Amino acid sequence: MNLETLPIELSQTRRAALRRYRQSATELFVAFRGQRSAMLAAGILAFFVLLGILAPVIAPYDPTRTFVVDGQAQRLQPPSMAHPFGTTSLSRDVFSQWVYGSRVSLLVGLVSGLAVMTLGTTVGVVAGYYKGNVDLALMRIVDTLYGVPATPFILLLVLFFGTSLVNIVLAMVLILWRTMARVIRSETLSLAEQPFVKAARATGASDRRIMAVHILPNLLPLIMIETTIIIAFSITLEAGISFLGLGATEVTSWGTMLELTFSSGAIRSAWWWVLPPGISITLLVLSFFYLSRIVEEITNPETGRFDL
Amino acid sequence: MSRQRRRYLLKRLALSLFSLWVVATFLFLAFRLLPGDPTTAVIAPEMSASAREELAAQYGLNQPLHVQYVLFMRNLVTGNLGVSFQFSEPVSDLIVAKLVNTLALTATSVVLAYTIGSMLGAFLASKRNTSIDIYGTGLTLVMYAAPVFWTGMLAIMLFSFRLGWVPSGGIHSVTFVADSFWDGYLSVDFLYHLVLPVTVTTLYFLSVPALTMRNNMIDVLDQDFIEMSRAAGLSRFSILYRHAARNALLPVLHYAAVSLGFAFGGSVVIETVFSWPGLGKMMFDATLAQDFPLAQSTFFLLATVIIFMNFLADALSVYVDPRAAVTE
Amino acid sequence: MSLLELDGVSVEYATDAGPLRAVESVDLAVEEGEILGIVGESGCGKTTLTKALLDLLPDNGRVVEGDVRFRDRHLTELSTAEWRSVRWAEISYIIQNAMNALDPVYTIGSQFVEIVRAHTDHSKSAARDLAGEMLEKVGIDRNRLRDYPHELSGGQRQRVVIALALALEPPLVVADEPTTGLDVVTQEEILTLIQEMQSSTNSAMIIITHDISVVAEIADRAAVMYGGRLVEVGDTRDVFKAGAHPYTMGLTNSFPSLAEDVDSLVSIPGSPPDLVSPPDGCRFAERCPFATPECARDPPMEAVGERHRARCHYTDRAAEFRERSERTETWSEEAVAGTRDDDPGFGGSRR
Repeated sequence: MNLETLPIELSQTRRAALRRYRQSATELFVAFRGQRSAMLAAGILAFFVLLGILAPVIAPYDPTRTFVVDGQAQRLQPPSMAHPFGTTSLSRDVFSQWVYGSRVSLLVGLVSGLAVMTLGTTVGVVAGYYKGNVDLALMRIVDTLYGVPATPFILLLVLFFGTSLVNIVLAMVLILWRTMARVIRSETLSLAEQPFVKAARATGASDRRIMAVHILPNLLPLIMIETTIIIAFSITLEAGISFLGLGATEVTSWGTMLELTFSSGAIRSAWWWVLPPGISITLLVLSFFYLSRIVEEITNPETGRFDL
Repeated sequence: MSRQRRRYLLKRLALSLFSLWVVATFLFLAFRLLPGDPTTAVIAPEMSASAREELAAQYGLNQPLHVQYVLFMRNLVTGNLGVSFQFSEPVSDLIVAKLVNTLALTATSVVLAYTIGSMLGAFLASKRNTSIDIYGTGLTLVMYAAPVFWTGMLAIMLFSFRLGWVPSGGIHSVTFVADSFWDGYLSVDFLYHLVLPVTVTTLYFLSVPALTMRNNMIDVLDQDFIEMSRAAGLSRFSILYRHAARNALLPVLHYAAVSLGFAFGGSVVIETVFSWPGLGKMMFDATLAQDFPLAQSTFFLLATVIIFMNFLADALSVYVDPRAAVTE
Repeated sequence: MSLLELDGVSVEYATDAGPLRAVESVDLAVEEGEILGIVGESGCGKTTLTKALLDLLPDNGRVVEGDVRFRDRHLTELSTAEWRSVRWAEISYIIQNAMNALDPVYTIGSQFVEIVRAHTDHSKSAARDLAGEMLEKVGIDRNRLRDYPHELSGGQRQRVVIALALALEPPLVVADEPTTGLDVVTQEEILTLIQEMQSSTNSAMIIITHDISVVAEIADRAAVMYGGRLVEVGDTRDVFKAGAHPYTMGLTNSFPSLAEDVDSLVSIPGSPPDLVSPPDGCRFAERCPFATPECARDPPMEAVGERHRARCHYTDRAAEFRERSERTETWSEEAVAGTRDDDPGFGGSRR
């Protein structure tokens, strides 16, 4: 009796799979709401998301606008009523730049995270499930990537192909997917040995069905944990690239702000310019780290109870 | 037992060499397939026509790609890395000098980070769920979340510009004269310049061992053999450090070797902040200046260090944990 | 005077749902050189009781009532340092999952030596000699002292732990599920070994298990626990052949014997009580086929024979209950549910 030929059985299995996905996600959400650190991390994240979305409303000025008062360029001014975070060495408003900078970090983080999640999970599941030569080949690629120095590699790519945001994200994803692939592969290897997978195979389920319906829902917690960590790393990585002067030219990110601060020598005095971008990077990265630890604690069947 | 280990290590060595080969091939293709004049990869634009022809012949740039490839690999393996465009010196000489600088900074930081970090992790685990643990862990996470170049900037702002305790960059003062190569490094002046970069880098790198060690300790302390040692009346110190920590340390040691490689890769950023003349900074400057012989060789050296460190990590874990070779 | 005496011991765990009374007023004594088996299903409190007497409870557990006396010392009042002088030399403990009791990164020999030297003045070589001797006594070649735990089989590791426990010839050894997880043949070997070692050192032993055949085989006396309370205790033969508590009867009848014909197995329906809010009165009443409204009152411990007592209101009708408990219908769900309101004289099926 082939499952594929019975339309009723087919949709039941799919329904079961969907139910399992939703169950995982719901359990997570419910447990999440009860924890204080979780809500704090989520709060910080929400703050920055709102900052990014409402940037045009919140930022008092255009970030590229220069200020001249009485014929005097307003360079490196400390915080004042007109400029709550002071001005840069190019007479620009720090606060406005900072508000718009949140967009870049969040966008880069989320897009990189999603891309890495997709690529890493696909490769990881395929390698872990099929094993043998497929696994060998895929893992050689991953192993080689582990040998490549991350920042220099991204530097090379960006220098060759240009400093646009897209290129930076692509270059980062090329490096970042390696950890995801390895972690997912490892978990898939042990999942594939479980009785329920063997049972599914015995009833004639296809490989793709097994991977999508049986293995993937069980990987969901791990995927979420890893993705949040990857997002955190990509935010830092982008800041580092921008700091080196290879940041996206079309937007001002927090890393780019710090680059100018450093190269103009303003760190001798302009604390108002140095602190905000760094603090926000730290906070944003921290909130993603906490999120991943929370997901980890909640989905750990042994503890169940969250304690940081 | 050791035959198993030996086979495992040989396998990993072969894989490492394979990775190295792939990286070299990537470098070859990347620089050859650049848009523009392929000869700029090895020949400086300012050279005379005759010098160019000579070099072109030597590198076989007029030959088909696969011949060039063989020549490239041969040059790489024999250490013939070409001449730098910027400095007109053999690349190999330049690299060695900078390697020492980068090593001084990264090796010191990683060693310190892992030593202090492990102890911190074990300590936090022993104070689990108290406010020391909660705040300690939080602070450690903050150190890891803050970009290292930013903390470097803050440190320079405070300790260099405001307080004037340490210099703001470089490895020697302008007025410093070294009697010999090694004297330059064994001097107080060098240490004086080393303090701030090492402190900032160490603080950044100690988060991973501290948190990993803490987590491992917590897991280990729940295990049966710990209960046994309590029932057997061993002292608290013995249980925590002789038994729990020793078990918890194994994965941390594995990360240590990997972290050193990782630190090498990240040296670009740290060296830029502190104007530290190391490999990372050199690679960055070379790439910007399109000094391709220098850039590609430095990249390759960085990759070699990382791959070697990963291999070392595997070798270490096999020797330290009696069970590791069996599971592979 | 008994070697070990537990007097009204109660143990509580602090949990999110409130204090959990895992052990309630247990009175128990162990004499020199005798083997006491404590039986009960999971959650009945037997492991908690032993951990409490050994001061090995987790942070959220504590002895809230009662006293534990060992020889002339009150164990509940000892400090950690004072306990160290008692451990291993006076009381040793074979943990549950003894197969994992050894540290994987040290050799067997070094762990043996470490424990021996923690409690004696032996030099390293003297300790090592002792270790070698003990290993041979449990049937393992002394060269294996140089091996790591994972290089030995599960059964061998179990023997090593037994050897360790008896190395200093302590007057009392506590073993938690020493045969669980082993195949039947190995179980038998381990039990024989335990008996031999125990008789040669004349240590008293407390064996905790859920497998009454183990107790029946090697224990001198048996104690039955249910829902955190001690429900019956006496000489092994008395408890199993002439059990006076309905739970004991259910237990003994649910283990088929090779000698008799068995038509169907007896099993006790229902599940153990919630110990955060335990029921008033007899904790077994809910699952007992002989329960009456009287059982809502906490039953006292009644003497049933010489050194044999049971916690039931109807110990005088024990013989009658025993006979009925051998029949499967007595334990059917309807029968158990129905009899709570009936007079036990007309108990059984309503049909």
